Amino acid sequence: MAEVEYRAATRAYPSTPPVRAVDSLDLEIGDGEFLVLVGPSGSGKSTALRMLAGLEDVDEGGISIGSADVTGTPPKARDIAMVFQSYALYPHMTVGENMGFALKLRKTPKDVIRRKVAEAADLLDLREYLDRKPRALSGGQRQRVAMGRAIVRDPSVFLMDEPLSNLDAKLRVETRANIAALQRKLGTTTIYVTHDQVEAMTMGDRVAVLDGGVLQQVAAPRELYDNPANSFVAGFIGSPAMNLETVPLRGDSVSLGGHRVELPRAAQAAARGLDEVTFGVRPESLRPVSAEEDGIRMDVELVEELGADALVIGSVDVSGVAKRFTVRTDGRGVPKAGEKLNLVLRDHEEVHLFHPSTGQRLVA
Amino acid sequence: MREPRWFQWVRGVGLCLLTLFTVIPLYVMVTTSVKPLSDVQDTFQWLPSVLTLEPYVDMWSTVRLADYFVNSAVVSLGAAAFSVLIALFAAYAISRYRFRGRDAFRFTVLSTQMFPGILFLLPLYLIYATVGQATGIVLQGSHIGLIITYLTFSLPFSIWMLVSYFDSIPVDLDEAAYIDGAGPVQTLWRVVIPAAKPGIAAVSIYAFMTAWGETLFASIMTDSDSTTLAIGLRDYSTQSTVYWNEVMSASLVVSIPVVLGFLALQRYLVQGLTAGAVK
Repeated sequence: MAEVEYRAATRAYPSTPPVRAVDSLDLEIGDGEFLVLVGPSGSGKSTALRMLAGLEDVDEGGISIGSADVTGTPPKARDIAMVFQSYALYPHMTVGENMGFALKLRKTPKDVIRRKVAEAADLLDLREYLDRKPRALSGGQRQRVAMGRAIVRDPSVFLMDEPLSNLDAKLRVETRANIAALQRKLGTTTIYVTHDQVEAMTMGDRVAVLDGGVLQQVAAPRELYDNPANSFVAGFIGSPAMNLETVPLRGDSVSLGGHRVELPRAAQAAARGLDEVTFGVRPESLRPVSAEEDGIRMDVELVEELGADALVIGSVDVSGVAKRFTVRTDGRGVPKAGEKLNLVLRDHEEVHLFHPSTGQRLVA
Repeated sequence: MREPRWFQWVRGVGLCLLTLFTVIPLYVMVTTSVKPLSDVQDTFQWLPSVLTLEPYVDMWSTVRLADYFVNSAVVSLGAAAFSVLIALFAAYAISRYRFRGRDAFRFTVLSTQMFPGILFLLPLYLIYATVGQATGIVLQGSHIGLIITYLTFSLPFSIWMLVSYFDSIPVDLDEAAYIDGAGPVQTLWRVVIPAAKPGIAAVSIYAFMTAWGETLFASIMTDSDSTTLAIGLRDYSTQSTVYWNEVMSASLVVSIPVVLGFLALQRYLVQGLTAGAVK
């Protein structure tokens, strides 16, 4: 087990101008930590993982695992194990041989290999499949074999590259919990790449959000949700996404749907001097009120009933332009499409303000 | 939509004619090979009046068939082995690495297939003669000379075919092997080659069959000690007699390795070994 450190690590693909797939990444991952790298496609999250694996060159900066600088080290000398999105099981080997392959390459005695493979198989409920070939397994079983292959090695770091994206929805949720539990049990430092922010929020001790090859924020899931460092993180984390619009600033308030929303006191100072501000409010921070009460007027366009609650989607007038807003409401007595709704903030402080051009958070 | 009746008839008759066209020569071959020589020299009979296996025994003594067999086997196996070995490394490099000259190499390999083989006959002969004079290494009439010749036939296609086979094997497998602790050679040997077995089998059988049946170059490049089967079959026609029954029996026996090759090839091609590797 070991900590991992990216020091201004950069991967630049040669082209004109060079594409910096990962741009000066600074990131420290503690011993035994479960860190999730999340971002949209093309954000560099997989590249960052592959740089750590040694499958991708580090063009600038460096990477360490434990106390060793591994920047130029080949994968085999890094003591890492990786679970691929495609699983990448060796098709001509049985499940047992797949899991024991790394140990075999290290010339581990046969009885030790057999014992370790059996232990991992028990842990993953694969005992009865050890003699099968991967093609005779279901998707979920293959996924577990890929996990098993990583566990058997007892590496200092686990790398996982979207290991759940080939599973169906139900199995994904189940496996998600299993992987998280397994990681806590083994206590192995784990770096997990996903584009799914639900996976990121539920699995990680901390989550690192990447966009355009640049690290946007790294924090615990709660912190990321409550205090996004910039408007990208605010829009990316949370499902449904935060309502985020750039609006003109009038004194210490903004106007939304014909309603004056006063900024939180702490934000007022930070926003002073700006003409505009990027205003964000999460769907659950809004609350419909009766037609008599003053509020943000919304024309309901669509209602998504989720059972326990419902998502009300509609348009809100923002400086003369209709913008789409989402509100999370109680599952009972939901409004209908075509109705008009008045919305108020549940809590005056539950708004997020960002600089309109830099996107940086205005208040801590 | 149902096909009209007349179409079914035309199709049936057409297929029957094609089948006869294919099967009759084979039938004549088999029946001739079990006739005594006297019957073969008489007017042609569809049904043999006397059945004998003598041609299958005599064919070994009429000409030096066993020697020819050995020559063909050495040359064909040699060509196949070298072809696969070289093609494996070349194709792996093309499939997995990006290097200067990669595209030029691919194109050159392909372009050799655009010329008819006979264009190479004279130049190759001259090269062999020159090499022989300069170094004393005898290439004309030797096994090694013929192996090299056949290698030039099968290698380009073998490389091309293995490249597309390797391309169909996900790079994830190589990367998984690297992470499991394998170097490039171990990855090729323990992961990529086993996954490419059907492709390798196809290439080796192709190279073997190319060499086994070749006559043009063999007729120029062999001498009496290195005569291959395809050339040796001509020896059954002497000045006085043509041993047609033995020609047929020998031809049938000579075809056996090729038929076996085809059967093996077929088995591998349908196997789809990479199923289950990803997803």
